[in-house]
Amino acid sequence: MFQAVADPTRRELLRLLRSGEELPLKGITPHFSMTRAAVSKHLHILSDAGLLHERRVGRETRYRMNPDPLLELRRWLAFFERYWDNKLGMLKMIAETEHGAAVGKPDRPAAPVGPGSADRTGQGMD
Amino acid sequence: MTDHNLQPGRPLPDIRQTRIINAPIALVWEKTATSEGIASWFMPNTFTPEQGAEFVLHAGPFGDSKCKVTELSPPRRLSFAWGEQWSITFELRELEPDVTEFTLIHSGWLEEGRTEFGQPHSQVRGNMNGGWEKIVQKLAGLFAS
Repeated sequence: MFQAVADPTRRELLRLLRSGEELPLKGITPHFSMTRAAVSKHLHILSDAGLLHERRVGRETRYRMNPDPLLELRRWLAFFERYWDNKLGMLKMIAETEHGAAVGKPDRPAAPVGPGSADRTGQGMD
Repeated sequence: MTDHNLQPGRPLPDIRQTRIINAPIALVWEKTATSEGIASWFMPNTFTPEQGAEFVLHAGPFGDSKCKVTELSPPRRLSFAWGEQWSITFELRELEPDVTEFTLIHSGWLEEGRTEFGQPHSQVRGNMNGGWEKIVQKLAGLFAS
């Protein structure tokens, strides 16, 4: 999918089809300064990556964007944001606890009190 | 949470998170760039602090990921490749003697030519439809505690 989206022509194709409109090849080609065969090849790559729905109507194939893979990627990103939030909270706690012990202060790991604390350790996930 | 503006025309931004840690930079660096340090908050690993060194992150059910140190500048910056696709950077900055700013950068979300996505498209689609979802579920389960 990444390669499919990395090409500028294919991104342009997705933009064209993003509105949800269903277009046949002959309706798409005029938007591009390349041959029908070349456009068709790009459509195939997008289709193989699961980014397009194809539907045959009579003798022509019509194309429409399928946003699902991008949504999945977004979930994946959201997952990692929570993941790192959690991990960095852990790092902060460990480092501060260890430092507190080293300088003989009582531990005050997560939340320094007062308005000066610029950081927000996202311990609470979800 | 960031809105990623997930439009096909744009590459995905890096994940970037910053924390202010009330500890000296040397201590935070020790947690960032030693095998034990990384294991204490991130993942068990075979990390060695050398430029170009290959190591493994043991991600439980996710499997082992091959990694490689791509930048090492103590005590400020460590970058490594995580698998074929991702790049992780830890950046440290001393704000005060006992206060360190720590930034995590997770990039590689939309790169052309990465080998993981140079597989036949059918295979990529398989990864996207089944594999990823399962991996995410496994990971979510692993770190849910």
